Amino acid sequence: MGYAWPASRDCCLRYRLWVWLGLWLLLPGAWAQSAPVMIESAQVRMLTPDGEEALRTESLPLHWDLANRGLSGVLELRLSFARPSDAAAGSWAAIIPRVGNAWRIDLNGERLAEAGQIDVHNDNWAAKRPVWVVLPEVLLKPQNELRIVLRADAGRRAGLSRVMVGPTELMRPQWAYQEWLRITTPQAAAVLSLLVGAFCALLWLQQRDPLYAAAAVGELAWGLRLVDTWWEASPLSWPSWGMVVLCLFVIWSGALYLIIKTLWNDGRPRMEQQGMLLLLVTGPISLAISWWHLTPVWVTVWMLASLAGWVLLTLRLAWEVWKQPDGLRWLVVLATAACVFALARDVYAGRAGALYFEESAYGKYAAVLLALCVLTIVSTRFKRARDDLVQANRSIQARIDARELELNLKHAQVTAMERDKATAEERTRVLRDMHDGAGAHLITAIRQVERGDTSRTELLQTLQESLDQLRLSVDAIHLPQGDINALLASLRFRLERRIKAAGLGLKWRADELPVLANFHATQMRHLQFMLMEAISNVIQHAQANHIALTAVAQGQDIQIELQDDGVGMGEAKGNGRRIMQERAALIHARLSIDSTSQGTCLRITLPGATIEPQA
Amino acid sequence: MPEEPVQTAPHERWQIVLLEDDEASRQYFEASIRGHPGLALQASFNRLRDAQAWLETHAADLLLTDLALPDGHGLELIYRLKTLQPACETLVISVLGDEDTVLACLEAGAVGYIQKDARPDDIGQIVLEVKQGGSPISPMIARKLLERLKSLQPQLQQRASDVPQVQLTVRESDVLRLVARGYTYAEIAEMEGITMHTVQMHIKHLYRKLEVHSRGEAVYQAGLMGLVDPQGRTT
Repeated sequence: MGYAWPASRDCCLRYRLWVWLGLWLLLPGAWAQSAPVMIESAQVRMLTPDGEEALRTESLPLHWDLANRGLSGVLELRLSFARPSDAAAGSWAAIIPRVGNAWRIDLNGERLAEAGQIDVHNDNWAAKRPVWVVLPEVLLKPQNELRIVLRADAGRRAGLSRVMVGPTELMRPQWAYQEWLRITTPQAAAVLSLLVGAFCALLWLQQRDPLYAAAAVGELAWGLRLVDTWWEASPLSWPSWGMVVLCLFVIWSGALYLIIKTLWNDGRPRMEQQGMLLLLVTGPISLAISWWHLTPVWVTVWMLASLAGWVLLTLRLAWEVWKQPDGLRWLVVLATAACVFALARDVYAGRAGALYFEESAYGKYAAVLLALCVLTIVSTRFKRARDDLVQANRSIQARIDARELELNLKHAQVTAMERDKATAEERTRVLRDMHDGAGAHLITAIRQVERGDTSRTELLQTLQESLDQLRLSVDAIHLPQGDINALLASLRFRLERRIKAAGLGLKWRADELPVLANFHATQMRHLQFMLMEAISNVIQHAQANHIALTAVAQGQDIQIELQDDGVGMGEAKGNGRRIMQERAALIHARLSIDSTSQGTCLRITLPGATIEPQA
Repeated sequence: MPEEPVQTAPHERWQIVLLEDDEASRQYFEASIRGHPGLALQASFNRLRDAQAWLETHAADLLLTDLALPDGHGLELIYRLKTLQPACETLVISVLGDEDTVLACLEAGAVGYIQKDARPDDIGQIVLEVKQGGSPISPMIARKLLERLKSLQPQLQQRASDVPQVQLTVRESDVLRLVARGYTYAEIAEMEGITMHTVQMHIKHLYRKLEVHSRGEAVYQAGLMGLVDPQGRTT
């Protein structure tokens, strides 16, 4: 059986057990091979310019920053391990989960690897990743010495973890696990945070919502902070870079508080806000003091203080949410609680507990929860915005519908008014018609009966005329506007019987006439009256044998001619002639009456285009 | 109250059925028909239901009917008669002869109308003309007919093929146009160089064309024009 990292969680232990077991069974003769060895102690001494100290035995891991507060130095560590004589051929390898700050490794006096500058303190080599060193077969002896020289800087995490050595093949799964835990996973977490941060930044650019700004700043800061956990060569040397990383952490926690504040609708107590501001500002200050005095005490105190502050805040938030439940707030409180717990554990592991280096910090994973929280908040806000939009659309639609209904009603009212107006006009026209036409004739008939000196034929004539007038009125209602052909035809149809009864021969010529625009019902009726009057005159007074009606188009004009071979109109019909002239003037028609004892020629000329509408 | 049916008319006379609710008018028309040598009054009614019941069991040559009757509108009977007795023709009695009413009657299947103040001779003359194939038409109706038949033409091309197409021949539309301009049948015959009988036949064909396409619409149309209210009662 091989070693597992004693401080690993159960699941990791199980995972490695299975891997070992699998390798054991799969590799022929594997049982005969040497299992990996965990080196848990070393001969240690300081290397000073004055000379070399005596070697002393110390157990691993060696936490320089905890054991030698405020001191820098160069250390030499000698680790011994045996390679059994019956071991299978092949190279071995060593896994060093943490070594730093700068280091070099020799095996049996031969240089294997180095990183950073041993003689330059506070260089930018950060020693964040685990180290894999191949131990070549040619250098391996039954008893081997691994000599590690490392430079430790004051105020910076430094030292050496336990070292595992063994045949390369058996070491690979261990290395894969270390690589996954210490590099791949933090990378993934960093990428997630940076993506969420970039997304929130875009949202903020578009919508200027303070929540998105806080989330963007926080997630970007945290993403960079995570980058630092696997980035070996920092862009700045120590302690400037340390300050940057701490500031990133401070920015992240400040952003988290802003998110909380926004979610609580800016309703956080003043004291709490001031306390939080104090914590944030004192972070970098405490770090600076720590460096000045070359002791991590101040930073540690600050960390503990801010942890305490966050614990109190989380409890208080949890209490508030408990009293007044809200889904999003619950999520944020839980995620914050997870972060606080993870960070507390990390502080304990890094500063107080002196745990094993090969473990990973919890904080970087806990913060992923926060990133997911932010995403949830963003999506919820999107949904709410969309719902609001849909609601707004609905209300707009409702308003449009109401407006349309209103317009329709108004339109209906206007239409009804117009219809009423048209009806009223038509009624007036018909009534005037009745009055001038049938009514007038009926009154004449009554007068004739009253006078008693009228012959029965004359009376019948008047009544007949009255009925004809009535029928012509009805026809006039249906006559198409400006259709003189229709007007003449209806006139003939209504009067033909009387013309025939009077013994008159009718000669009819009605050409296809142009339709007169603007010749409305009133004008039509005036023309009808004029012709009716003229024909009645011929029937009653002209003593004619023949009557001829000719209607022809003359360019745009229409000329209607009524010719009889009677005795002429004489002077007695002056009144009828005057009325006819008045009617002609009303419809802008030219009327000429040429009456001799050989007959009468009445000519009406209707101008085509120039007729104006007339009431 | 229906008059007693008169069954003694000679066979060569046209058998006329009269429906008129106004007592004076009915007596006037009865007298006019009786006085005419070519006509015989077969039956006379003052209610639509009675006339309809009678026509369901008796054959007649011509129905002379008023429109506004106390128990219904004359259009209903005209329409019904075309299925009851296709050979029996209808003339409508009208005071004004306004074109909406006349057109509705033509569409229902009537062949024309007689003015209420027509003289006895005129009545006989019109009936005889109708039975000899003539079709009285006013210029206003001719114009409407022209419009209507023309409007039917394009519609029909999209309709189902079981409806015969309305196709106005050139001569038919010429005749209609001349009537609409006020010319008499005799004048038209002279102008077109055809006999008066041919002119009448043209008109009759036009009636049939209109009627065929108006059958189903007649009562509906009448309703539209306010002649019959939706319950079918006379308005």
